[in-house]
Amino acid sequence: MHPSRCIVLGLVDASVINHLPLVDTPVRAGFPSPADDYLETKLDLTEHLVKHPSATYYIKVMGDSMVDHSIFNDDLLIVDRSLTPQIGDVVIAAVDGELTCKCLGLIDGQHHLLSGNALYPPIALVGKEVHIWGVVIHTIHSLRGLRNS
Amino acid sequence: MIGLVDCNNFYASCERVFNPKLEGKPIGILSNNDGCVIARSNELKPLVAMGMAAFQIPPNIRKQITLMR
Repeated sequence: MHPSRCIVLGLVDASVINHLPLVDTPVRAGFPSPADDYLETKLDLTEHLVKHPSATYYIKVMGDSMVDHSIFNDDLLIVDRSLTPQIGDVVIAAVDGELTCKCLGLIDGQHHLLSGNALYPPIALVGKEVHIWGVVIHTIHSLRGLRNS
Repeated sequence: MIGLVDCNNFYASCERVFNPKLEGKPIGILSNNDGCVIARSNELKPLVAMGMAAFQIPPNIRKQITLMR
């Protein structure tokens, strides 16, 4: 099993708008603003985060090989397949027939898939069956865990 | 303006997008009720004819391929 194994959960559904109130004043850990009672702006997360809904998927990632990029076990990734991958992007790659989450990088001018964890070595792309599946644009990390809310 | 788009071995290619293990392998997609082969990957084409009923595929070939519904 590859470190940071990925499972595609589904396609983004942008057809329903779910507006939640947006707190316009930045939330600092301090004195709350008396103007917070006047919440006018609404935000739909899908609209806000996803630019190409017909090409964007939710992917659950397992493993700890990307902790340096703040991607942890059981996190939910939002992956856009329409974007052109660039050096430095966190990507989903098909390596040896499995989808895995890695960072696209250059070592000595050769493309490699880098982990965000010193325990996992880079994977060279030259002479290997590797296909970049999509670019990770957001990661959702639940602090409380979805079962304990 | 109208655009017409065709894809190679469409349903077989779709299965491969989410299951990269199937790349390079002979795979076929079955019709309603698992009746006939309605899409074949390029690796399957020399082995199985288009529209062939699944039960008619010889056992020695059936062992080597993956059929999906």
